[in-house]
Amino acid sequence: MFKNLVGKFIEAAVSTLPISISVIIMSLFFKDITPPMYLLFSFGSILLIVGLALFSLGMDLALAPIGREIGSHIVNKKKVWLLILIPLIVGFIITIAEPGVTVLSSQLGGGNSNPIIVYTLAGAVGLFLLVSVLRIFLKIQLRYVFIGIYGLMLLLGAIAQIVNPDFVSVALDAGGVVTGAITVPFLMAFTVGISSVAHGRTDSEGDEGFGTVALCTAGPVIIILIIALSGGLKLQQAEVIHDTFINIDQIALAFGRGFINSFRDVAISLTPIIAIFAVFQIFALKLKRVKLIRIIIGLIYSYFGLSFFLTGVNVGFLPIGKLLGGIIALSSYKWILVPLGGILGALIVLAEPSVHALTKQVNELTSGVLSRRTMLVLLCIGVSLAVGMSLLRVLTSISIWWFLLPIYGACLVLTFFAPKLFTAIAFDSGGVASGPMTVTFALPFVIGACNAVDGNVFTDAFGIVASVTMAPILVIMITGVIYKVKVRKAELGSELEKLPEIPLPTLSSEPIIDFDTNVASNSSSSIIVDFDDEDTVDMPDNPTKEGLTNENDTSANPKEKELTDRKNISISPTKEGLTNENDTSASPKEKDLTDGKDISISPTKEDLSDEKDASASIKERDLTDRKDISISSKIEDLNDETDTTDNPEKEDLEEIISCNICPILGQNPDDLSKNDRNTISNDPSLSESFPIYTDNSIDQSNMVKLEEEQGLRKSEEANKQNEKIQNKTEHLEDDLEPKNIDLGLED
Amino acid sequence: MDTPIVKPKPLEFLVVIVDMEIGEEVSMFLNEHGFRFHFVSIAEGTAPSEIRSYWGFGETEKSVIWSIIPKESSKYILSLLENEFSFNKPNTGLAFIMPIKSFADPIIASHIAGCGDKPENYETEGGRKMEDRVYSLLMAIVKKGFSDEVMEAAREAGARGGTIMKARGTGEHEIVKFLGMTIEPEKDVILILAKQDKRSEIMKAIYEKAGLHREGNGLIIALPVDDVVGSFNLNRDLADEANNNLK
Repeated sequence: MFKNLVGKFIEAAVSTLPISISVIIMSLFFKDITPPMYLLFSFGSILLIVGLALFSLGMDLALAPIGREIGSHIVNKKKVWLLILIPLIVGFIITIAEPGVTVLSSQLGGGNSNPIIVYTLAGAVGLFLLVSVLRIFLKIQLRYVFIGIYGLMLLLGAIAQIVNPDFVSVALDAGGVVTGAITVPFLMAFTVGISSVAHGRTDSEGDEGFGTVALCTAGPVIIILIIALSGGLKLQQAEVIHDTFINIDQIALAFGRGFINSFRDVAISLTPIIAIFAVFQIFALKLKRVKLIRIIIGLIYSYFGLSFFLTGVNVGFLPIGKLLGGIIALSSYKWILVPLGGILGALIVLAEPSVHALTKQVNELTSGVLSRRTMLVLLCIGVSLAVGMSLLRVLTSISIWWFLLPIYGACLVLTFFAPKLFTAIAFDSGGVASGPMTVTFALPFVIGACNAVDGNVFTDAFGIVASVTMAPILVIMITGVIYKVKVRKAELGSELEKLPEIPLPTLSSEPIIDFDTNVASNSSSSIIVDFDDEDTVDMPDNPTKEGLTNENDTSANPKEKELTDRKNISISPTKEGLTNENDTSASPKEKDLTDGKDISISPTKEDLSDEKDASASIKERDLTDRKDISISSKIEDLNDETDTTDNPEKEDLEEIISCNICPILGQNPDDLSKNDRNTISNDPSLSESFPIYTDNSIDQSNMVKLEEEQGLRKSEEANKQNEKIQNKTEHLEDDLEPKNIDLGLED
Repeated sequence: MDTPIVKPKPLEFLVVIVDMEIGEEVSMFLNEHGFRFHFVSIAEGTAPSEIRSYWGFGETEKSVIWSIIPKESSKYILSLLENEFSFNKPNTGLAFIMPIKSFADPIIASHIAGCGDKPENYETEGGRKMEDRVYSLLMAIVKKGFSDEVMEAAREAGARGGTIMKARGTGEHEIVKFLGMTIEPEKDVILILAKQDKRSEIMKAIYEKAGLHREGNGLIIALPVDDVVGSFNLNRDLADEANNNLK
């Protein structure tokens, strides 16, 4: 029933339970974590599951469709100014409302939220969204864009490192903070919307749908570094709530506060998307009712889903994260932090909401080459390395540049070796992996550890978001290179070479093989044009009779249905008679062809009339398929044994015969369509006539043409090559005889 | 004197539509049984009702596996699939077989015809009878976003579900150039399996709601289907049969 909803909840539970369970197991080793803390964390986990499930449903129903619709709409309008203006506006508005940006700006602005920083960041996102859109149209390869932008980022970072090292880690983290849970799925869908309509290069391997998140993550970093270098920033340590809740009342209070904050934040960050959609819906998109309702419901899901999720993370995960980090760092075996961080990193990425949007999109755009599971495994490895790396930095105080430079350098070099699609996906995954879970759980964990070992929070603890952004890129790039090598190997040892030697079929000089030589022969006056006449043959009621009707047997009566194998022979004469009657009235051409029809079945029929063996019919079919007119001259002798009524293949045969003969026989198409009309008239829906495609004349004129051509050709052959034909017929009969005799013996 | 034609054995086209999670299993399963010529694309299963589609409870991601198999094995592989993936249970998936008209390489054709598991009793089974062809595959190609209209109409006319695939229109009149890019309008392709008696009704309903003369610009065609296994309408069919028997 609600398979999909249940599926979402299961998926959410599978994504979040690993991290919850492992955190609880870790906590059990430390007495400092009190029972109310567990309670808080458990509630948080439940909220996380519900929130993630609802939000992921909301992304599918609303955020992604809105992004796609708007993206493909601005391309479809084919206006350059729209193409430039809309990305700027969209990027700007959604960033202003992102709660993370406000927090970041107050952190960078010395305690008070600095509107200039907010607007600059928003402008940066708008600008880089525009860059990523334009690069699709300007056909610039993504690798050059990445090399340019990430190169600039590293360069500015290096300068800042010399001038004022405190800012570097914070600035690098800004990218992950700015692209929040709502921005990421929306931006991804927006680009997909554009790329799904516009196609330029043939060698792009489909990378047009990616790259936006990567650029919009790098953009803010560059902007903040520029501001920092110009001296416009004052750092203020972020306040991280650190209360150990004692009793139930306070837990309720904490959640109450958490809910209010989240509901407010999410409402603020959803507003611009709703506004953009409303404007587009009213003036441009004009979506249909069903879609509109679905999007509205999807927005409601997104709202509640993300609110629950953020409450769960902020109230449940943040305090315990910070506490755990501090406690472990103070314990005598603090080096365990690095592997533990690795495990936590692998698990938190599963619970990131945007990750689900990414894996889904990657799966869709690669048609399953990179399945969701593969992507998740790669992301897990990447984030696990990143968190482990960050904790190593906290414990050793080594500079972030020891990781930053080699990893980004390797990534940028690998862009020349990895497939383009992998490059695009890799850089996007970086921005996607650093979502709310990283910011509200992994970051406090590292800050806690850093405080405990008296490290410099700014240079050591911060930078984890940057690491989480960076490590998955490397992992996916390496996978891409391996993939490419494997594909190349597989291509070298091509499948075809392993094929066993098969003798070439004789007489197929043509590369195209026709399995079925039916010729469409029938048209009826209805909106639905049937191209074959099987329908009349296999109308569910009374197939036997149906077959006979096709043969023009006007005398067909209910008794025929009961006729058993052997009785058929007795009908045949009657039928023959009928056909003969028709023949007399028909032209010579027709006669030839009627003959042809009869005879093509007859050689085997003769024997079959006694033994009715199924396997024999295969032979028959072969014969019929070959449409060897040559056999037809034998007709005269075989006339008596034509009925195939009880053969299992009978209907096949009849169909083939009638199809082949129809266009040729003068009377047959008429009769057939008459029959069709009879059948159709039983079906009220078909008997009505519709405005479309009722033009029979074309078909019929074609038919006449065919008739003439084939008839002439065939009668010629029949007359002129009589000897040859007889030889052939005998030959074929010889072929058949042994089998029939065998069958006879068996019987 | 020319020798009799050695015709490659006929091939058929197997289509399996299952939930995305088991799409890979189906491919593996086909490989295990020696059918190695298959391709997977992704699609979306439609919601069983409009209300449920509002709430997002209906659409499911699907894998569509297209495979070229020898005709001899077609019925056999259908029964294998039915057993392995319990297609007889509701909401599991479905598989059907369509005739292949021709094949553009005699060697590969005979290779495909020769590989894969064969039923032992094929000879006595004698191939497929025509009365098995009680299903058709309806294919409606509409402008993107009109799949809802199509499904609504189809449901009213008695269809129970469909599969939507995304596509792009590349017809000559549809392609427009913009800034050096080719703008190709997006299309939805809706696949619906219909019984012969319902077929024309469904087609008519779709035509009236989203035909070429409507906004949806829909092309609606019916393709022959030789045989079907699957749960897509088992229950309703059984009920129909029971009713007919009573009458």
